[in-house]
Amino acid sequence: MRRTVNRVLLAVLGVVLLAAGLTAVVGAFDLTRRWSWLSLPGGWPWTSPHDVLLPAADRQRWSGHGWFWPVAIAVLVVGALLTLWWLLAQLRTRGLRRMVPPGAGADGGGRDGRSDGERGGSGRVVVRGQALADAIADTAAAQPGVESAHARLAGSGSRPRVELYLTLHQDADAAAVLDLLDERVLADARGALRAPDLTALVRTRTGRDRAVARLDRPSPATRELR
Amino acid sequence: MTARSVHPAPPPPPAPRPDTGTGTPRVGRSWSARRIPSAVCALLICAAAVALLQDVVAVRTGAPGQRWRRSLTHWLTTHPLDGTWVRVGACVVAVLGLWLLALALTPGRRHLLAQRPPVPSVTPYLDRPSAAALLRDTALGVPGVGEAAVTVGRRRARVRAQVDFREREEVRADLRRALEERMGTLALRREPRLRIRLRDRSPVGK
Repeated sequence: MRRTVNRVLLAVLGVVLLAAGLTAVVGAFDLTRRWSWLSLPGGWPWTSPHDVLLPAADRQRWSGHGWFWPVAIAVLVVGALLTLWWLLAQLRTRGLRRMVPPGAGADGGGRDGRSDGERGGSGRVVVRGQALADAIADTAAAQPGVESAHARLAGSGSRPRVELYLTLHQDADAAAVLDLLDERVLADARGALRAPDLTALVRTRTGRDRAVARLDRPSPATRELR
Repeated sequence: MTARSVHPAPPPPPAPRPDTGTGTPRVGRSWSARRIPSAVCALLICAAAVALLQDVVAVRTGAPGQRWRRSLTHWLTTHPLDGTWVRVGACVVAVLGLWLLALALTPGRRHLLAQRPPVPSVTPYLDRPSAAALLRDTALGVPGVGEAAVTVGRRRARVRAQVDFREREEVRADLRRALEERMGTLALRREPRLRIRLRDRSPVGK
């Protein structure tokens, strides 16, 4: 959602700036005269290099009208509010704060998460999102090859999503870690949340040791090559 | 690049792990939310709108326009298009627009490599420096390799290693085999091609 909004707005802004910039470039370097194939429609602004950026005629064309200033003020207010909203939308990083596992507290709990959600009634169990995420991270960190892990719960209550950040040991088998992760860690989380369609975004990295760092340790020649 | 780095007969890479379930789910690139450019653009536009609003309201209520706005208007109404600064500005604005457009249309997050998901509901990524660290760990375990530096690109993995002992070509073959095996365990959807460059231990020094 935010990703789409950001990208659409950035694209619009990019097109506007690109168009304005190119128009000015055409005028500033007098390209219509240098390139005969380039002909611009009538009424095109900035065609001659002697034009100014803001001709006085343009400036006064609208401002005399009674409607101009109220409209200008309204546009500026709306623009300021919208961009403020756009700015504030970038600051939200919070995950899912709490969620109600469908059917938790009731008997058994069926397979279809959504229909069971309403049945909760008095025995409702509310899970704090970060507590659950921490539990997932702890289980993940206990798997072989994993040095540390942290997680957060995102998405919505009916469609939760786990974001899991793993740090592996240098000698870990990343594919094996992923397999174990699904079998042991996410299976548990799906059970706890009664969300069989729980999705997970996993980002894996390794510890501090970066690959380009020079290491002085002698070559471990004794280690057998398989 | 150099002829040296091309191995005469690379052994075939190890067979990929068998897929669990029917059909391999595909994990595409991770698409960045572009939060920082969005925040910067939003902040700039918002600040400009507020400043203009302040000025317009001041003028409407009878106060003189603010100095910055009057000098800006003066500059805009007097400078012809072929002035140096106008030309530079026009180019900068056009390039900026192109850049924003590129930000909007490209996925970004070039440091993340998509991995093969174990099940469709899991979307795994491994970051490139970490893939390099894992490969380097393997390279250092090959007998004869003293130092190794690995950089993993989106298409190529470059391994530079120093051969301390053993025949260089033997080390190369072992290194390639070990690295290809390790690459298989990274579960990358698209494995970067290995490029190995070896150098002998320099006689200078110890």
